[in-house]
Amino acid sequence: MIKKSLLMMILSSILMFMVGCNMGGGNTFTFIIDESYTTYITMGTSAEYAPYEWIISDEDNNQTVVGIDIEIAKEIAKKAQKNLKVIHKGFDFLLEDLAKGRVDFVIAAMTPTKERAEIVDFSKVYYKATQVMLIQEEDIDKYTSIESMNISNIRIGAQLGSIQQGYADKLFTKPQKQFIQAIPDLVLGLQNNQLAGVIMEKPVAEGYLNNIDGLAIADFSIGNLDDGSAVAVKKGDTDLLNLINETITMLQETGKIDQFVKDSIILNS
Amino acid sequence: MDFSFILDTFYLKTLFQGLLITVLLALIAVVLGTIIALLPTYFRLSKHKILNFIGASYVEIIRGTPLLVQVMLLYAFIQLPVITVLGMDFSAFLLGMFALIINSSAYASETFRAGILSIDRGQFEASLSLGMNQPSTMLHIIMPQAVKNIMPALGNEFVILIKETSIFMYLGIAEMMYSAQIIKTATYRTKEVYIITAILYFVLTFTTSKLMKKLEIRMRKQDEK
Repeated sequence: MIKKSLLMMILSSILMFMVGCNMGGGNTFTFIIDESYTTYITMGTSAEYAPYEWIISDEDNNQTVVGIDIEIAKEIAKKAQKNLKVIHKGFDFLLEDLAKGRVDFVIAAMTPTKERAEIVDFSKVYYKATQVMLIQEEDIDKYTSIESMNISNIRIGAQLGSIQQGYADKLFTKPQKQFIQAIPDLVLGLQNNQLAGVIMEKPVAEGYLNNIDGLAIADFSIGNLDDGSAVAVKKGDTDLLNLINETITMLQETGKIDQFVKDSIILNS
Repeated sequence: MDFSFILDTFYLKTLFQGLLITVLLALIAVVLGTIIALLPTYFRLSKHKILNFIGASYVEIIRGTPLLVQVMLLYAFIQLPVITVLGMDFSAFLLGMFALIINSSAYASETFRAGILSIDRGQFEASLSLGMNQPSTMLHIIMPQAVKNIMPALGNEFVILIKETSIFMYLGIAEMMYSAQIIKTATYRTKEVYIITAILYFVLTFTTSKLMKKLEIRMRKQDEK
């Protein structure tokens, strides 16, 4: 009986595995840029940051990844004359994966900082986004400046390992802080009054405004206005870096980046 | 509360697929973990001091550190190139699976040890005095009785593993929490998605433990014959 049930178990698991995969699951997404390209270039990202990158269903009801960063990656792949492969993982894995060569480049709305630049090389900034504080609509008159939120009886949140975490620590010294991986979980805390505000990039905050009632963006900006997102490559990979910089310049000059941003925000609302 | 997303075929499919991968991960881990567990069990029951020490440290170290830490350590130390199999980053899957199997083997080996030790020593001595040698005593006298004590505990281990798989979300393995994360980013319905996920996990673990109970009763009945 034990032998039989063991056999059943193994058989059913193989079956389930095949079904699971045929349904288009998995964390790797392939984009064929051109049928004639034979090799792949691999991008790492953390696809839970709409409108930069997130996962939706395609025409065949399978999962696919979309967003501003994905469009840029497609352009980079086109320039490199390779097809594109996107791997989705937790945000704090991305730089390690890149440094170890598991992926060729990382685009994840990542702001170049000194600490990050020690492990990887950054391209020029492809999109400048201001940091804002997402709050509840009823608090819009209460929280009007950074000082008004720098009080000890509230809690503010930011994504773990992000640039916003640094701002939360530096600018808001008195409040309690909560840092977790997923932005949606932070916004849930905001809705439940556990958090007074969540720091995030403006396009992301706008995504929440369009989809959830009762939220607002506080009337002050956080951090440098020059902050922006850049593409990361493995340290010393100058060939790829030059290619990426050229692509970004081309996209900025033709105004394509702004178009990507607009399209992605519309797709997300 | 807005649960309308479960009516969407895409989200339903995503959840169902996560459910399958979760069961699959737990199944592979418990089956392979059980097989691997025989080695530390043998070490721990042996009278040889060094073997005993190795077996004991293996079990204690693995039981004494969180699975999350073990997975992250393996991921940081073992370098595998990205291999894509059927749309999945197989290197991450392999490492995650490996950590889960090792983890489950440590717990299973303790279950084995307890099961074997629960058989009265008199049985061992009796069969030795009847002229059976040690391996065949183990195989024909002790094990058939021990299995009845081991099986329910292994079932519990399976239920625990189903819940443990949720940490593989971080590695991008498409199990149930990963599906939940996709849906909550796309629909902005965080609370509702977590409620549905909790219900699915519960249904999974509850039916598994009920099935295990059935198996246990059947084994008891055989005993009474």
